[in-house]
Amino acid sequence: MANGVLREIDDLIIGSLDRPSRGYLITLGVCFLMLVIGVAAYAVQYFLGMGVTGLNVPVSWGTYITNFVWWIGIAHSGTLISAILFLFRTKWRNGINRAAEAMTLFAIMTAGLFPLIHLGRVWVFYWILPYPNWRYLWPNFKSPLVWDVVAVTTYFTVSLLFFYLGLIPDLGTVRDRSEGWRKKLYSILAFGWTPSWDKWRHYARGYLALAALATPLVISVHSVVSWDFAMSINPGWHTTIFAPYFVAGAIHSGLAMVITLLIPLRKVLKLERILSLYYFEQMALLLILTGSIVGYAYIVEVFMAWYSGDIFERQFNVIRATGPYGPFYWAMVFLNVIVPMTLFWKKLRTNWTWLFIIGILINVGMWFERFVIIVGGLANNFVPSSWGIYAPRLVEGCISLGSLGLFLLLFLSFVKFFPSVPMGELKDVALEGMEEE
Amino acid sequence: MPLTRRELLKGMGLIAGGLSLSAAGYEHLIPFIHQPDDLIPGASLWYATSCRECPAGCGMLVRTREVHAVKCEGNPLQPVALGRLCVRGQASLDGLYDPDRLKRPKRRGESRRLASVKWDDALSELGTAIREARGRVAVVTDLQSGSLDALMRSFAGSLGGRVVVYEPIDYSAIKNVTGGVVPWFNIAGSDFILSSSADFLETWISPVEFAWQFGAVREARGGRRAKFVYVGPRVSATAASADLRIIVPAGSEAAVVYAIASEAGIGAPSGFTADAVAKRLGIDADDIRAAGRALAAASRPIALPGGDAYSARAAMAINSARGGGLVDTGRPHALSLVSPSEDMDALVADMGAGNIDVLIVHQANPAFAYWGAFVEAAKNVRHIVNMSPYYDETAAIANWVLPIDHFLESWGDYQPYPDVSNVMQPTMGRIFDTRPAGDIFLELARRAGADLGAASYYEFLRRRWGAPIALGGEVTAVAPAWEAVVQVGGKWTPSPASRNVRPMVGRTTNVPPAASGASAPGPPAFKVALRAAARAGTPRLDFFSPGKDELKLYTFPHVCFYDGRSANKRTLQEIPEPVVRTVWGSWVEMHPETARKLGVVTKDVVRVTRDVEGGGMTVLSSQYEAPVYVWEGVAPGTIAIPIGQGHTEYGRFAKGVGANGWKMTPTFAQTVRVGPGDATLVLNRLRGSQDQHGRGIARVTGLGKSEKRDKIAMPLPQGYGREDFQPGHDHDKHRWALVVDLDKCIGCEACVAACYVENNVAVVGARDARWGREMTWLRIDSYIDWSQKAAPVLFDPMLCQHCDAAPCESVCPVFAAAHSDEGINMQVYNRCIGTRYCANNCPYKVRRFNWFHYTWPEPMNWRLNPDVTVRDRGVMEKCTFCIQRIREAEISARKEGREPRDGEVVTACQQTCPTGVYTFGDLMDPHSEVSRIVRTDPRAYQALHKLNTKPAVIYLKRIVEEI
Repeated sequence: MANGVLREIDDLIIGSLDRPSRGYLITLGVCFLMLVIGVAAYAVQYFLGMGVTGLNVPVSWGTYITNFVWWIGIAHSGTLISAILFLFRTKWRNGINRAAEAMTLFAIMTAGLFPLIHLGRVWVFYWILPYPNWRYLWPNFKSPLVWDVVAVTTYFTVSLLFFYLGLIPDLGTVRDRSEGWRKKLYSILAFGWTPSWDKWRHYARGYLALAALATPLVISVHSVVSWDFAMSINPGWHTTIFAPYFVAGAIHSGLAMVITLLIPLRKVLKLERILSLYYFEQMALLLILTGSIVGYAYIVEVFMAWYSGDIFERQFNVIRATGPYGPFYWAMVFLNVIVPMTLFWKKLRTNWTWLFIIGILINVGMWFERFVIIVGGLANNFVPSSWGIYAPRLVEGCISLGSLGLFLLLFLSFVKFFPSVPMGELKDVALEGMEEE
Repeated sequence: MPLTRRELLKGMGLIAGGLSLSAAGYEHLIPFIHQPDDLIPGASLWYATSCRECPAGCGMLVRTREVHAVKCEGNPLQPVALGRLCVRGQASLDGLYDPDRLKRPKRRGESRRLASVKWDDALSELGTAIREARGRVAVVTDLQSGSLDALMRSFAGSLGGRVVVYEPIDYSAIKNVTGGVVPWFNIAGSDFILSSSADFLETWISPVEFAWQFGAVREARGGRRAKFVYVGPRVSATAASADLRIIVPAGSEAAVVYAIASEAGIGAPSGFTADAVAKRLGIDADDIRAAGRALAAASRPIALPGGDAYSARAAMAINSARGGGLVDTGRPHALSLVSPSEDMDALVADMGAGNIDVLIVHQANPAFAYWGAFVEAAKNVRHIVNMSPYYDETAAIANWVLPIDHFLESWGDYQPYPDVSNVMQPTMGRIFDTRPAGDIFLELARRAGADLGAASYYEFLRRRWGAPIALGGEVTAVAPAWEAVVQVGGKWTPSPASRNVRPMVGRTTNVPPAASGASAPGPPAFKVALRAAARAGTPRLDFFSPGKDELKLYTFPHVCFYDGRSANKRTLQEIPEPVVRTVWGSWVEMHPETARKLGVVTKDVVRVTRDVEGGGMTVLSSQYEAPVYVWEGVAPGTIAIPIGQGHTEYGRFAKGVGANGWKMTPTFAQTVRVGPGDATLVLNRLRGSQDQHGRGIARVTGLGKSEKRDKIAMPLPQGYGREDFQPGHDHDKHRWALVVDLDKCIGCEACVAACYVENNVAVVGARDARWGREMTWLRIDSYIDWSQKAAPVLFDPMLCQHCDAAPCESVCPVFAAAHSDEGINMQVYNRCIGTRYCANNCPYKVRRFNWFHYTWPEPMNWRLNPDVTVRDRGVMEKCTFCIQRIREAEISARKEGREPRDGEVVTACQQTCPTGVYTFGDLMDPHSEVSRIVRTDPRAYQALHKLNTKPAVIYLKRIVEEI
């Protein structure tokens, strides 16, 4: 019987790698089209200048940096689910961790593009990297932007290794069951994996070590991203709460993104039996927690502004809530804090439709949050004569759409080429379950 | 491997091909064959000339580099300018290098199309036409008071024609009182200034001269200084500098001035008591009483007669009753030469009647300012000759378009006062196929059969200056006296007003002492006594109070455009009107009360219509369509519109921008109606709040008050303490700093224009300027708080503060924002990758990003200062404290083996400021002026001191005195 269950898992998951359906191809095509639009828009910006965006003085960071922070936030839950929950031996992570990790990788890749897209002179972007050169010119290590580069690249590297290591046993399984060029490809990728006791032991040790390594990164990377703002002197940016606030927000949005992606995925790839409601309910419960932390951060921000007695902070908070960005501010409070509270009701958190909607709503809300923080913080600065307003223009919209296209394209390709559910770990769980029976 | 002959040839061919290809881009790089003796590449040459952007006649020094004029500065020796220039003078190079300048003579054929002609053909054909016209010739010119004026008069005289000196702003209101003279106003000698709608710090008569005089009398000495009351319909920048503003409906100024006079016991027409006037006009009687008391207490008051004829007469009445010779008709301004408006009306009538065959329009633009009737009448003139560097509205109706030299390319002279004669010399070779206007007149006269006795205008000029050259000979013999006059830019006696004012000398200019020998042409003979205002001619109070729902029109010349002649300069288009901060266009100002009645809000577009009734019907209906700007700075019931925009020709930067205020002339106190307009028009106003929100960025203090001094965080190592996270910077020799005296700032924007020109600051256009992308390194913020009666409008020059603990420096990932060892916050353009983090982190928001690749269309690129890098797209830029000027001073000091002296480094903004707002110097030198001010001046403070950025720009609080 045990073999039967295990084979079924293999069949189901490997079955998802079969010839793509029409619907899949159409979706892929749409994503590709979005990417093309984004690339074309970027070409316009590259050749004409940053002026094609809506950026200005005082708001010289806008949609691109918002997107950057948002995508980095998305990238968070992958490692959270795989590493932190792994260390806590949380069973429910096993069904979803592969997809979440892949999401992490692709989200970092997408996020990483935005600082480059944002640069005025992207052709010399590498000057921000500490590479040896005959001019003895180093980057300014005081600048949070340099920390950012270090944090994000580190996070990407570790996430990639972690993801790949976890993928190796499954690649072995896929290799054994595929033919032709695929077999060759997977043979290479699987690094000669054989499911021997030794290999499993090394694998488990390595995985644990990487999980331990990745865990602090989950905290650090978004803390560092938050310092891009917190280290500046702008009212609305310069607050000590930013690091935990951003990390919680990142996990919040990351979880929402996992839910948003996996609900259609399980349908499309016919993985309903494996990606059961149980996993989603667990994530929904976690959303309540992260949503509460985020809500707490919102309150503390306002309280501290009042408590500090600082005229700039006080006026800034009033302007943020009532000024041109007020609707976004209140939308963010509603979407990120109020809406997740509906998940207290079991009926709602076990409702697929509502879960899907809530995933999208939180993602929108989290984008608003970053937008309000970044743009709002700049628009009403110290000197009132410099106050301004920002609204994204077409190019920024197209590039944002393109980034979504790129992300989905990568993700969709991934689920066709690699097992999107970790078979090894599922089997492990299945066996344990049977033993208990 | 040995090289075969074949391989060698192949290689050489490749190299030669490569070289010839790469050289293709440099085909214009031709070295001098005979290099001029005085031309040293990299060294500036300065030429003295006269500014001709308006009738004021400021002496000008033009800096040239490699035979291109690159910067204009005031001539420190010349008594009108004293080294300063206004915003328009600073931007005059934009006119010299205007890409839409006329490049060659043209004629309009039968098909109304312009076609190029040869100069010779044009002149001979026109000469014939003039001969055949037999005296039916007229010359319309802008104000020329020197030799060119004489030449035009003898031209017209010898041909039986006439000359009309046409200036749209003609000060006829003053001349009506004085009998044809625009007198000299000795503001510096006064202790009380009453301006009746005269924006004398912006455009009125001689704004630079008046501004430095104003700066001198407003310097507080022993707790006292001159008081200033402004009566007018609008809070202009001039009004903003006053101690008391009495804002009244347009056309009612005279009533208030009379009321003030009567309060002061001078004796005004009866019925004009403070209470009666205040009640009628809905203003505060206490204001009038206060102004009257101040006037009575003053020992040397002066009233400046702006506004309409009544307003001017009322002000002149005060001058005649109390003036201690401060209004001097014995020193008439050149504006006195402007023909009375009846002359122009008569000419237009003659034109319409077909009595004029040849009309020569020189520099003037009546088709723009005189507008409809002139254009209509011009249809009956056979030959209209337009002589101007530009294709303006008048050129558009002319048959002959003869491009003349720009004033910076010309020989000439200009005499703002009888005792001040400026000489103009070409500051560079001519750019296009243009000719001196004088040469054209001489040549036309010759071909028409009249000999004016000179082969060239240069010869004519020299003769008038008593330094003749041989008739028809080579212009080689240089009379030493003449040379000396040309070198200093003219001949003059020092202004009696300039005793206490230090001339503003720019960079190391070796100016010889004023020459003597050559005698200036004699002053025009004016013999007018200041007549007391005819009391009998003053209407009763009813006349001055507008009807209940009547809308009065007030038109004012824009500080950047004067009467519209400067509208083709894109730098000026992008410099905001100082108080309402509008750029690139026109607008309609009204009081919130008026707006409510009309049901409009800011940004709504309205059409202001003025109907001229005649014989029971509307004979003329003119319109002005622009977006509304609602603010409290205009009197209720008054519609205020700027003059200067709305060109239908005049080059790419002026054409189609805004609406033409001249269409609403005569300009004073017309009754208008307001209706909805073309909704597609956009109010181009810079963004930002004019409310300080209690942040204390621009601050005030009472006159003679000794408050506790504000803490100054010195931008020096000793300025660092326990609260600092980072250690301070060590400065090698200097720590440059700038003191900005808010009390002296009149918001005239001259420094902004100087900065644009000196530092190659790009111009971005209306759409981007509106969107917050203007590139200006220095801006004059204006904060408005109507609850502050004595100073509701505060001007606040804001530029890079060169903080010692600069927030921008620490966040730049690549050290593009870095600290120099002289304390300057540098921006290394080559290193900048464009993260824009520095701009985010700058609390003063003075950093500017190159959103696009900004260009200077040919030949504007010739204007670029070769000492300053032109920034490419994608990099950040900002004020450098004019580092190129610092280097120049340091190098010249080192050549002489010494350290730069205090005051030797003069930044561009400081150099041109008419009132002396800026003081630049070295904080490491304890004896420098800036050190002294920072140490001792109780008004010193730092903007946003709380942030502990340790700015090196130290502000001095504005002094407020309630009258």
